[in-house]
Amino acid sequence: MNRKIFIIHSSEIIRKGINAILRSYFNAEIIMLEKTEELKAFCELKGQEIVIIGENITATKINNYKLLQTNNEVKWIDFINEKEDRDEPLPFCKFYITTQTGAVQLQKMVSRCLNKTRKQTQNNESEELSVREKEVLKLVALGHSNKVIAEKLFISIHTVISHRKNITEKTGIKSISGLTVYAILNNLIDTENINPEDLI
Amino acid sequence: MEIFKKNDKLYHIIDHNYHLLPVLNRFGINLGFRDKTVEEICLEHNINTGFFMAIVNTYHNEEYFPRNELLTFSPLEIISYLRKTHSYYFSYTIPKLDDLLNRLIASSPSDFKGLQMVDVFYKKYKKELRQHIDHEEEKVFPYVINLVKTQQPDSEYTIRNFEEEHSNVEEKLNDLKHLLIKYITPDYDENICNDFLITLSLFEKDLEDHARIEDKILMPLTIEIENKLLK
Repeated sequence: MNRKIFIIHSSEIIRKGINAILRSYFNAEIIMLEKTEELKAFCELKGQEIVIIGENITATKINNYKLLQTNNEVKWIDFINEKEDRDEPLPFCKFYITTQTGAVQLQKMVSRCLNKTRKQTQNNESEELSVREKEVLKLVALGHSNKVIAEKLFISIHTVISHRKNITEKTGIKSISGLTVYAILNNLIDTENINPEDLI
Repeated sequence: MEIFKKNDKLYHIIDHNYHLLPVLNRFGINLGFRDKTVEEICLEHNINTGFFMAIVNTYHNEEYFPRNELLTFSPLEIISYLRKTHSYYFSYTIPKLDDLLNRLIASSPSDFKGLQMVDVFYKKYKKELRQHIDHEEEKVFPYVINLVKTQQPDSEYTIRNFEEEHSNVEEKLNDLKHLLIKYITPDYDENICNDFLITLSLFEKDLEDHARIEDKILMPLTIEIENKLLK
């Protein structure tokens, strides 16, 4: 899952200051915006962990970004400008900060926003294909359809599809011709009798 | 990451992201612009500043996508930009990749199968890309231009008839990168290979941006025009 931190504040020194505090601490892309409205341009984001540090967040402001919140894991941190009177942070904000907040405190807050949703997406399995996957890959490279592969290996089409998904995840290669090159490089196909150019 | 503004000096933008250099050329802007701001330069070159900023910012950051703003631009403006990127690919990027790959293969002392496979793969990819771009140049763009100029709906087609997936073209480029980085052990000139991979990666990013403008701006804009005309 990708992570993003938005810093939205009208003051440039505050934006850059917060950026400097967070930049070296988190492995996340930091985006600085001047106005909340500029967030609209990011409504296409999907499946990301997002922390938004915004200046004087209000319920109406947040309601404009429903799509962003549905498609992503969004946490808000309210930046309260001192002069404005507000006794408590808004209920939907996880934390609030002011100019009095220390750098370490802020880092802790952001880290708590991110840690809760942290998932181990990185699988540490080796990319080595199983014997069955190699058999499937070989048949894919030879240009057979899922149906034919299923018949040849006496497995269901559903199983073939799931093997193919695993092969692509392990190798990082999606296209059939790309997989064919991989199969040839790994000697899964005997190129003595077949011209590889016909396959790729 | 920051969003550039029209008051920014163009020098500042390029200094920040030199990958934007070819984008400037597509707008006909040459270097040597001193301390002028984007707005000043756009005025001089008769370029729609809003459009220029939108293209620069979407290119600079792949997450930035001001849909509503982009939908206000003219399809003709967008097509003119897309055509320039096409010609950039075929007059510069692809010949450069061809050259680098040829040199890479020549640098390998053994008759290594891996690079030959990559070469076959690359050539097939290039053919597909050519077909894809020809289809846009010969079918899609003329259709849209005609629609805008005549303000008459076509009796036979709508833009949906021409729609083609971009994913295939992008997928293969990514596979090519994977194959070289992960599965081919070098007995070739490393510097040439680095050049090839860097050019490839930049090309991949450019294509993504290009596809995004086509699929998410030009398509919906055209559909909107069609709907209006058919009413």
